[in-house]
Amino acid sequence: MRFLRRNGRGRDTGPELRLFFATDIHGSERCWRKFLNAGQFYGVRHLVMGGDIVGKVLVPVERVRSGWTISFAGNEYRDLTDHERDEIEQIIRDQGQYPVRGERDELEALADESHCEEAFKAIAVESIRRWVDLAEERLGGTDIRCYVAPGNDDPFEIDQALLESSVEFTEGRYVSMEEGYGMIVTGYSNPTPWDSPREISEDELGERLQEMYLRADGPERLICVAHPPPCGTELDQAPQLDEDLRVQTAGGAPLMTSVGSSAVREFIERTQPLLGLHGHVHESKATTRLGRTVCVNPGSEYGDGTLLGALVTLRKGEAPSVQMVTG
Amino acid sequence: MTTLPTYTRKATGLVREVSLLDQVLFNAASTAPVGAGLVFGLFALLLFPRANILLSLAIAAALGIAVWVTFALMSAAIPRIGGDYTFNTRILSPFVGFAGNLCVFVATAIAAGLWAWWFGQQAIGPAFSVIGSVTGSATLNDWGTALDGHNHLLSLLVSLVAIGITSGLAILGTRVVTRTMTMLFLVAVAGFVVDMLILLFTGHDSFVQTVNDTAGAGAYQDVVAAGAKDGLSVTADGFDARSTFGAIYSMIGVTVFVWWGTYMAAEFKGGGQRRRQLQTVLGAGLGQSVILFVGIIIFLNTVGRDFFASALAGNYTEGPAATASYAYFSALVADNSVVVTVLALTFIGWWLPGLYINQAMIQRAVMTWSFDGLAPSALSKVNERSHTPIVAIVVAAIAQISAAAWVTFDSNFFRIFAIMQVFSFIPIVLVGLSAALMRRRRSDLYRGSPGEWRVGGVDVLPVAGCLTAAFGAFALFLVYYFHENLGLTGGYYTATIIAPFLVAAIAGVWWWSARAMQRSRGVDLGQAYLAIPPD
Repeated sequence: MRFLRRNGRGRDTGPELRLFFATDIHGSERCWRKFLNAGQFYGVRHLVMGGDIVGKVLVPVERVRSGWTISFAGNEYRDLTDHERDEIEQIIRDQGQYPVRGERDELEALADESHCEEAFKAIAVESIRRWVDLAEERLGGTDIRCYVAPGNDDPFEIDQALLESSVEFTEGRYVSMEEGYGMIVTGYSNPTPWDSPREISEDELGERLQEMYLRADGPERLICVAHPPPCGTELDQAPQLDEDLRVQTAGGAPLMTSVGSSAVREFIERTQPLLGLHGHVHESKATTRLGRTVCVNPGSEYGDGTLLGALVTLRKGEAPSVQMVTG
Repeated sequence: MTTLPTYTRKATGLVREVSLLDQVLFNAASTAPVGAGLVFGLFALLLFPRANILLSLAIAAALGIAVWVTFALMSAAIPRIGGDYTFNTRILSPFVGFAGNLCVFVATAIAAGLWAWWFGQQAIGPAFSVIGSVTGSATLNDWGTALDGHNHLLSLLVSLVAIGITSGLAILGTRVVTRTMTMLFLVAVAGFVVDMLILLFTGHDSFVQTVNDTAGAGAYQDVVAAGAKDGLSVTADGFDARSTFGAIYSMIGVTVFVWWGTYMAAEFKGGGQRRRQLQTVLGAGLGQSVILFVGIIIFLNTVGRDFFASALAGNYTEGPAATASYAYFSALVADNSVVVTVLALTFIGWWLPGLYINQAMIQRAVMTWSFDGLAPSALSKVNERSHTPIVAIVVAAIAQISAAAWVTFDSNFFRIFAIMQVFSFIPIVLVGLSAALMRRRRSDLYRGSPGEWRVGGVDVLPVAGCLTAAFGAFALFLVYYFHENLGLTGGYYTATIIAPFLVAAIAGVWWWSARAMQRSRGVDLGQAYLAIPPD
């Protein structure tokens, strides 16, 4: 094992625990496949997914007389055979979007907001079921543990698919890992302008974290996986929006503002867990310290199938070692 | 039949795009924009006196199209902050990406030093001189002369003040600094428009009369005659093909670097992304080129080409003809102390935004290296109150001050500018190679992305990438071929040849040292960029 080599002082620096953390893959099937392979690739036994795993965009795949037509990423694909259609659909899935097949009138019906919402949910559940089957296929028979919590963007309908699978559904739980390390996990966020499914007030978020904390064995070996990052840090800087969700700019450059959670920050500052793992704000890839707690947001670039993540090494008596990776 | 749209649900991060005009403005501002571009573009007549600069400009803009298309498509395919570093580390190799970005760091540090120095020498000094020469104020004339660059300590002091202002504003907050720079930029644009209108509606004969009234009877004709004696007259000797070829270098410097706005992160990678990137980069590049083209025509028609080439060569000493060119001559014609004072002050507006945008690029590079474990983590720390990376800003300021000191105490800024250009052109070659090889080396990133664009069945990105790499190589060739015109003589010429290899060697030592240090902490830097196989 590479990470068990000795350092210059001759003392065994072997880690007690190594984990890989990624988040906000928003339906990218390629990122999910990479995530499942990260255990073997990086030599870690714990894979932690921090939420927001469902996609945001439906791409119509129209059945026409001469085959299939798809308009995607600025390219027009016309007269596709079934085999060609499958290839393009896989590219669409890899980039975090969902292909949806149908005749023109069926697809045009998606313009209706409620119909579209229902279609999204059904496709998301079907997609998650396929993902957990893949997890079972790849991780079954290994000692790699895979933890998944939904994020604020994920509809509640996917929970059942996760609960029925071999991945560990971690939302709202204290999870014991190894060597006395454990984590508390929530994918809920403070309110956002998008009114997404799992948003609660700052007070409720604080209570949720505190409730889980009471089940833990103190903060020394505790990992806090909270989807929103602590507010007022470099982990939570996002473009400032107006009421119409337009990015505010000055001189053409977006103005940035703090969008993290005050409850998460208050909880971390008060309880001082060993490590904070966060996501939610894709453009704020960073690490910071709040007291003794090392907080990490690996960011997200799911759109081009790149899996951003953090390799974390925990050793007794040492601050967590964090390496950002672009997988 | 119409294409069906994609459908989105309510989800975090689906923001509306930054307006097209905003992106075009940001891109345009990242080169030497509008008025500053005109001043520098006209410097071509100092380096290559008998060049047909309009033809040089047209060629530079035409060649630039491949570069703009490449950067637009690469940004559409990989819409991430980091630009060349992100493209090259992912497609070529981590070390090559880092070495290329180190070149960007060196180039922007030198550029920031130059902009800081220009703040005194090109902005405040000429503004004083313009006001002084038109209003007849000896004091302002003296101040203008004191800031013309010959008093090294004073020039350095003004550079430090400029760096202090932009760094201080940056520490106060991104919003404060970007709003201030936008305001200065818009003020300068307004002044530029008025200056151009004054020159446009002034006939050539009237201009000649004004010069003669100011500098003495026959002064204009004397300047033209002095230029003809020095072989600078196009009327007497015609255009020179070699000079026109050389002036392409000058015009590349004021037109090609218009893609920095494409580095703005854009999560929603939809069908419009490619069109948007093409519009903003090509819009900024072609817009800047057209403005320069029109500006040069207006300026030279009124002022007279032979007169101006001779004035640049030092045959006209009544005012800052070289440093303030259009601003000075329009003030001369306006001959109204209030209008002249206001216009001269607006001219100052160009220089701090130019300094800031280079400063921001230095900070961005330093922070990116820090994230990737190539530099201490303190460099990417953001102050919790101001949300600004104070350590990175201080590091950028130190780099700028060093460069400003170099510029101040050197006798020829053109050669420092040329050295800066060498380090700017190398990343263009590398990004061109990345674009050319992306389809083969990273088909996972290329296929189905907005960067995959076919015209007439031909993939545009690999072709544009090859042309971009060739463009970068051609630009480097121009620097070395015309090294004597650019002041790169003797030891400087040798140093300019060695410097890129030296930077590559430094990048190598830096890269492997950082890797060894991180390994001792159980971190393998090589893993930072390795793509996990998905299957």
